[in-house]
Amino acid sequence: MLNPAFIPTALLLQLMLLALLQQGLSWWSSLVLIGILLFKYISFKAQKKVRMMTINALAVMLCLLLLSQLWQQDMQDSMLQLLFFSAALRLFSIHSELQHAKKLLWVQYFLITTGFMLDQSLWFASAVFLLFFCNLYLHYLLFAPVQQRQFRWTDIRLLLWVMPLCIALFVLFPRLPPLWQTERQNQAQTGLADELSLGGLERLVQNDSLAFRVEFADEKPVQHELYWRAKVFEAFNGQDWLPDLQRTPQPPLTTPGRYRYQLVVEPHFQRSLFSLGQVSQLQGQVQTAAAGLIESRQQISRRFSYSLTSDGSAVSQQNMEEAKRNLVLRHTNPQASELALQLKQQHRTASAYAQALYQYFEQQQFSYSLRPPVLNQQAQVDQFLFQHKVGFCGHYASAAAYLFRAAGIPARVVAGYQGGVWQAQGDYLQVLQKDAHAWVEYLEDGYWRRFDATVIVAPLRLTQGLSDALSLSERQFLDQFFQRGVLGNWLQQLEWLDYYWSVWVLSFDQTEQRFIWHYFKTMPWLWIGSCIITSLLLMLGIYLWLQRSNQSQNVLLRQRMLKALRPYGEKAHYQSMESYLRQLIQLYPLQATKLKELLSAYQQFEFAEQQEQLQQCRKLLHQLAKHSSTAG
Amino acid sequence: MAGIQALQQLEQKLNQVILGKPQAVRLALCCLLSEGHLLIEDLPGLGKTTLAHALALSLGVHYKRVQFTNDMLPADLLGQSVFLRDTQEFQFRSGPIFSQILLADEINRASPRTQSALLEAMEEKQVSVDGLSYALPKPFFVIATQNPLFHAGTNALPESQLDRFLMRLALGFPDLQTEKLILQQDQGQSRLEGLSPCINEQQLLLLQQDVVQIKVSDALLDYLLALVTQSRQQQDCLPLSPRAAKALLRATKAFALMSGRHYATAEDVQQVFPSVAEHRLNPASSRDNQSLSLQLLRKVPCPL
Repeated sequence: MLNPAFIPTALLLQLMLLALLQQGLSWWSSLVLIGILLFKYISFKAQKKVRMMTINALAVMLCLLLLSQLWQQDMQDSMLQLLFFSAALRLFSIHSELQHAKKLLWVQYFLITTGFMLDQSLWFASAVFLLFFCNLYLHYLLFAPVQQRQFRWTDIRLLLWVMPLCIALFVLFPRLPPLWQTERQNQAQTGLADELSLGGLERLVQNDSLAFRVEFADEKPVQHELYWRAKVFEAFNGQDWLPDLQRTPQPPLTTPGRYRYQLVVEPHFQRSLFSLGQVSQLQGQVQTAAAGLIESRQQISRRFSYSLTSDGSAVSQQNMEEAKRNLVLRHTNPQASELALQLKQQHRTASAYAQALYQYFEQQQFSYSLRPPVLNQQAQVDQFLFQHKVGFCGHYASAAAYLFRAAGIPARVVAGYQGGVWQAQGDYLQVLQKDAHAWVEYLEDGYWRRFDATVIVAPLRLTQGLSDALSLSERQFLDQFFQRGVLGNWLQQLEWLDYYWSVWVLSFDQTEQRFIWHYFKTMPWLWIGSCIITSLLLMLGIYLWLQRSNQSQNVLLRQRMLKALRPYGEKAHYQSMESYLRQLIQLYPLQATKLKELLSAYQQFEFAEQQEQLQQCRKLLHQLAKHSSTAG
Repeated sequence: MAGIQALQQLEQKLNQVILGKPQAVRLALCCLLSEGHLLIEDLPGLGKTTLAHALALSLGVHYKRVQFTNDMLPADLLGQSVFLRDTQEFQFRSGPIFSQILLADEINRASPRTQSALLEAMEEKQVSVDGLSYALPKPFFVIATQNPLFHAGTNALPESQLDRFLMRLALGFPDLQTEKLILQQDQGQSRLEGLSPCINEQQLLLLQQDVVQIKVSDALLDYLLALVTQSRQQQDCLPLSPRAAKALLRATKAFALMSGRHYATAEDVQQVFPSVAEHRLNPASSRDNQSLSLQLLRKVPCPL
């Protein structure tokens, strides 16, 4: 009795699902799944039933295979694969019973929504919704009355009717914190590395993907003030700059900040978050870290949104010990140390020393390049400062921090992002991975002042972004990585959509919900108005429903009859119920008495309008449906 | 409902005379009950006249038979005014149409003039001669028979006049067993002779009133209208008029009464539909051809 279109549609759906969940599946499981689907397709075409023994054996084998792979794989991915295998194998048993088909549909609903664990972008969500509707259609195929197996306009209209309810539920339903959370491991890290060596950040600069997006509430900082701090490297091992692991978190300021802004961070599988200067107010999942930084309580494995208030000014000194830590230096670069001492003698204060360093970089004609010469292991700072004089932010930051410390001024390397592109439509700032940057902070009068040699070497890098700061050949080199064709403008529009998807939908949490309630409470007329409108709509709905239910008793009964009697035989659409029942009476002599009683009760209910016969009809239908399995 | 029992008895008797055609007999009785006129069309020798005669005989009402020919004049049917010498005035001598049942044999042999005189009387239930109107008796019921159109010397009834007949029936050939039975029972005397009336005029009028009282549900009316509307949307047939819809409803009700019910069902509509609709959808068709109306029935979904 299964609709012939059911199995091909289910196969197609699972194929699409395979494409959707590709990220979570290993290569071998994808292959196995394609194999299973192909096998099912062939046996379906040839109209051959596969023996359940074979399927069960296959299932056991796959389980063992999964178990053996368990130590190599993420737990969550293994579970996903297990679920997918069971769904694919379930396809083999649905010809026998309706029950199996129902189970399959529910497993598929579950599988489709697991997609959200992998990705939350608007495009992915659209794909998930599409698959969801496909599954809904499958469900429809299974249960629709025989004469209406086509999805019709009325069904679509019905779906549209449900939409306002969905939106209302989304907005009003209490947001519960997650019951459990899963961490994804074995993920390639994106974003800033945990150490800075000369020539670090190179990998990031060649990456065009999105890092995070920011929207400012009122005042926007100027472009060259947009230094997004993410990591501070305070330990120097003679060659690389590393984070100091023995630091305690610095409490945030309580004073109101100058800038209020909201960030939407792309998953980078680290805990570090981005902020401008000194942070003063924090909420929810965000907490303070050492050196005026902030971090998330959990690894950022899905799109994450948070709001901040910060003062644009310099970060204040945490304690005395901090200054000491940032003076530690292993003098691995003798030439640089000598230079530092020379300059320090001429310039007493830290700020004068910084000015002198700026001057030095300017006079010595340092230049900016993304393809600096490769440095030897020994005395890298010396090589950069006195030999090549070419490099990018990592080189300058590393060298400058060395020079500061060598002169006895506490200094550290900060990594993060600089600038970003303002999106005209959305009034929000888009920061890409290629905006990654590194600079130096030195301590003066209890505040950490910013020193960025790139300002001197490549001023355009700050005001107009990376590509303007480069020479033509450098730009061509960069363009290999960023193909921005004719579609550029279009893509921007799409990004804009995706941004508001994250801001309004993904980051809609308890706080936002409380805010809406608060908003309602402060405006009584809005509150009363929406109450009145809702109750009017409700009353209208009830009225229409009562109107319908009066008359549709007959329609309901007819549908019920068709459904209950379908196992006995199909009714032609032009056939009257009487001739249909008479045909059944001929075919099933065992049920003839019941069918005859049903016929007479139905006729009296339908045509003589004797309402009391409805009960009799229902009773007989129930009995007939129960015996339908023995009908044949 | 003593009337219904008498009716069923009547049906039984007719079936003993017209062997093997219970559906045609029932439909003919339906037509009678719903105060419509009946046209029986078939090849010669299939029992048209026998059915007509049997109906007339068993009803116990006054009936006359007229054999139509091509030289027949309207006056031969309606009657004429005759000048009486004794009283020096005209007197109307009524024709054969003044009867309760008129058997019009081979109606399509008459000239169009005579045909239209008859059909006018059928619709108006009165006759106008020399400026005076004469009412026809009640009940008034015409059973006309005709040969298929392709036979020589026939004048086809125009569409507007075919519409006046509530039903057109075709008897068709009997099946082998029935025909054998007919041959076996042929004793040289007509079967009609033994037929006696089993229903009287009063009962007939009462039954006709009962037909009007039959209950028709809203949904059933919708189905009936869907059938009529479908005919209007189709290209290959004439549309069914509101008169046709009325005829269909009456025939349906009569069919329900014949089945001993006080409510009509969708099956009733489907049973009477070909006989009521085919000659309106496709006037040129003849004999047993009910293809258009059956096609129509198959096109319209019936949820009832």
